[in-house]
Amino acid sequence: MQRREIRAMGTTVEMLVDVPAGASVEIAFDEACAEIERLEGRFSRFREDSELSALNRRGRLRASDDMLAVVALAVEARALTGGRFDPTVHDAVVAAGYDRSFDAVPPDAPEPAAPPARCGGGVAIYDALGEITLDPGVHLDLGGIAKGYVVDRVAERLAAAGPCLVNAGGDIRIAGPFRRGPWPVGVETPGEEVVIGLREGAVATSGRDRRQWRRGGLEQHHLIDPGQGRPAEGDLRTVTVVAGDACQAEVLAKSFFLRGERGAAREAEALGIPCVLVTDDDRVVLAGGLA
Amino acid sequence: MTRHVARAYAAAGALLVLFLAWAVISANPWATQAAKVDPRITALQTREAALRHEAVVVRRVVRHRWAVYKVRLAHRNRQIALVQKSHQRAVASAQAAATRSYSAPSASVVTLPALTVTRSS
Repeated sequence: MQRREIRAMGTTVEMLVDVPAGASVEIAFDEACAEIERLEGRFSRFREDSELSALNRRGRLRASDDMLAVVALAVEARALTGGRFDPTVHDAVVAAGYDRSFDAVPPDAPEPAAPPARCGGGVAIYDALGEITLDPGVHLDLGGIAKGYVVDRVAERLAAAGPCLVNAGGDIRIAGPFRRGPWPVGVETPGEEVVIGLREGAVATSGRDRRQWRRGGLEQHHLIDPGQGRPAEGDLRTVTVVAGDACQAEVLAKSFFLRGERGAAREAEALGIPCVLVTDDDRVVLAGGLA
Repeated sequence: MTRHVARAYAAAGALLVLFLAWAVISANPWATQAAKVDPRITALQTREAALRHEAVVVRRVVRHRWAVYKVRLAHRNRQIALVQKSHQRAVASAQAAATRSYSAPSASVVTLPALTVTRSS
């Protein structure tokens, strides 16, 4: 098993390739790192020179194929989740205090968070022109889904070198069969780690247990409820979802998080989406056929 | 015939000549036909003729434009029908994609040591 870790997208990206050591896998790792760097340069909202920052500044952009793909996935996800996943939460996240790279966000500032911001504005994609247009006042935050997209692209690239797993801060994509059965992926819980065996697909975890801070004495986190325009309140701490690819897993994890324990478990069972829910009172709930 | 009678004939003849001359002068036979027509009437007639001609031209243009419009409308209706069909196919495809996007590979809880860990970040 070959392994490489790099720091990117505000987290640690871990790449595993199930092949013996060799020059070809090192080249594949190097190419994967370059791809991560390239895509992060497109989707980061903290880089002034990123494509996403240009789109948010101008409201209209002749976009790259990657940007068109991710924005299309995000807009589609908004429709599929009934608005629980929404790429237009940028201003709400900033209002909550997450206005810079998370490492630079003050963990506990005395001033209160800004008032909730409107979400759900219009995003138009003109494929024929390769153009994206935002309604006035709309800004995009592609954070989670862009990370999923990067993980999917990197896994596809690494798969040329052999069966692989890519883990970017909890967003995991598997490509190719593991030699010793299913790929064992651990899910962090308050008690014993739950290990899920996967032969294909992806896993993602969303939660408010890590990326959180305080403003005016009130807890804030990065999972925005688009209906309220502020950090979501609910009875779940983390949600881990298995899906076909990392983008879908990201979307479903956020959507389930906003539904709360009962709604998420019911939806997971109805759709057959394996998931692990960790509640505020430290219970671990397995749903969607996961047993 | 006495001189008085001759004078009476002469006077009557003179009167006759006078009235004949008057009638001829009143008839104004030397004036041309064109001079008799009022130039305003002529202008109005010319204007009427021009308007009639213009109306014919306008009707012809309108008929042509109406024909072009009908052809374009039919073409546009065909385009709209095609787009609607395409949209219906896209909706059906999106619904199928929605079903696909909510499908997930099978997974189970195993007792193997984890190779990696997922957590919120």
